[in-house]
Amino acid sequence: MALRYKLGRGESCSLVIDDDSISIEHAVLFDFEEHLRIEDVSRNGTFLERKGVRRKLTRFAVEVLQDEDLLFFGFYQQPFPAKQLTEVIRNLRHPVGSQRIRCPVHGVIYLESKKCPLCPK
Amino acid sequence: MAGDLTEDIQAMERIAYHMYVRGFLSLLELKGLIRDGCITYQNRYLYDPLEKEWNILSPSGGVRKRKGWEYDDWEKDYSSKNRVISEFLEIFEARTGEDDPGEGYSSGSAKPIVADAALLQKRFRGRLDTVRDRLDGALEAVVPGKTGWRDAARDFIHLEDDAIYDRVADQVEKGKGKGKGGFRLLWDLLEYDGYVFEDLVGPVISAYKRVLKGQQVEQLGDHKWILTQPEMRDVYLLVQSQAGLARAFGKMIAGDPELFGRGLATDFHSLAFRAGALYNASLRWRDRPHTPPANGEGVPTWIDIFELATPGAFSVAFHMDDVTVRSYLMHVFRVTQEKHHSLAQLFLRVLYDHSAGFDRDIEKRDFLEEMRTRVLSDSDDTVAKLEIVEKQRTAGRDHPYWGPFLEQLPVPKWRQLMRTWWEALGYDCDGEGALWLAEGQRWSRRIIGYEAYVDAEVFQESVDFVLGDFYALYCPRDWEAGA
Repeated sequence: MALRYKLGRGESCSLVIDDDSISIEHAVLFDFEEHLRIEDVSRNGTFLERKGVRRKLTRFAVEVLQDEDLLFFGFYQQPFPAKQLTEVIRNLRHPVGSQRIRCPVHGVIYLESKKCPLCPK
Repeated sequence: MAGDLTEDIQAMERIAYHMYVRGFLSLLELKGLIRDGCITYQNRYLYDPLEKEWNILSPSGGVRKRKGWEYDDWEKDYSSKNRVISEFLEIFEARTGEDDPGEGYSSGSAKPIVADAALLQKRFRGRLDTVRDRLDGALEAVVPGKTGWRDAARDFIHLEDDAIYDRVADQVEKGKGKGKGGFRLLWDLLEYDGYVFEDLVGPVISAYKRVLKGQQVEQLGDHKWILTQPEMRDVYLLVQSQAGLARAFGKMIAGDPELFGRGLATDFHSLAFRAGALYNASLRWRDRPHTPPANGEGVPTWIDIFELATPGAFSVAFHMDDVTVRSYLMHVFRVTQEKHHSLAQLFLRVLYDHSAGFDRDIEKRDFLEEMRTRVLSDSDDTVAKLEIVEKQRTAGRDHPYWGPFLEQLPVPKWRQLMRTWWEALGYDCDGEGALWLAEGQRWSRRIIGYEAYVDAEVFQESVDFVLGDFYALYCPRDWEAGA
């Protein structure tokens, strides 16, 4: 099961980038063992540059990242290499919010590795 | 609510209510203890039907009853709740709300019974016959030539204190070397408290409490009528005899502790040891507060007062010397309360103030972890030189209540206290994250939702070993020889 990391401007995000064009919760990174995936949840968009071609990610669609990929968030011009992001999040001892998921039916928070305690088995 | 209270607070609560039932603590004093958060409100002792009637009759009470209970300033009170007492608002609500205050309140839903003289008589009738041997044996020993404890007690209570002391001392000496000598007989008599009824209230009980408290006929005043009942006269005689004996033993503990120790050595009696140690501690607290044990003194096998003190022992000690023991009891209430609420927080405040200078939470966490490792592993001398430990010591000495104690605390004990505190220190954080520093073009680690706290359970478990000095519960070393 993957761990989830929020990236955005908000204090509760695991990865905080303090720029006005970046949403409070801008993107969600999923750390699978072998690779990273990203889901854009922002207003101003997330851009992926692969082999010199830059494109905007579809909102709420999960994309698999490769090590040489570059990411751009909102209108912030700084590129973020996917490899560097992977290193940063794997250095975190207690990843914030990564294990907690809210059950869409019952609204309870449970650990990601377990099922919702109220849902039928 | 009751489940949250730790054992020592519960022990003190039992003592407080027992003292109230026996008339040693007044209702006003008890309410003061509740207000200060030392004990909780308990319906089974304090529920007053008349008070409730007044609430309904008075205009504001009537309005309140129709509207339901509302409290305007709850935010302010809630924010200072930890200092006031967590149950305070609930007590208020329980007593003024629409519902019957007896229902659903966890401190016992039983209400006291309003007793008349007939009920009291009925409860008491025949009780003394079951312990007649014990009473006869003890009182006939100190008043020779009389048969039956009533006759003996009638003579005994009119004796001067010095005469009582001489006879008691004589009994203790005589009992030397025997299996069950005079010492044990007398303490068996002192141990009897079958005349205490915890579930009764009312005007008759107010008068009865005066008798239990040990007041003499001329002090009873308007309550003298209660002695018209033959059963109450028996109680009066018995309590007066017990009070006289207790005073004599009090005098012995203050003036000739060796004799008391000899009595304990030959006929060890648990209540004698408990009451003796309490009274000794009270005297010690009055004369030399906050002092470590002297040469001839030892710490009792019971580590702290909560294991040693029983309601019965405090009652006997109250008979010995009302004023001294009362001030000591209040000190114990206060220190129990302060121990649970202020001691750990005092040092935590210093840590917060010290780490307020750090920019980021992660630095605070690293500092805490490093300091804790050093305090727990480094040698004592190195630890004493740490800036934060030094600051904590200064803050402790400046505290109005703990100051005098911490001032005189020997260095090894102080280190033990510090070690205990740092062991109990922990922190909570929601998680760890990273912050993008635009200037440095790098990611910097951060933590989210950081808060340092002291684990009260861990702290309380081990702090009693250090605070034994503060309770000043030492007794002459030879007292325990017979135990």
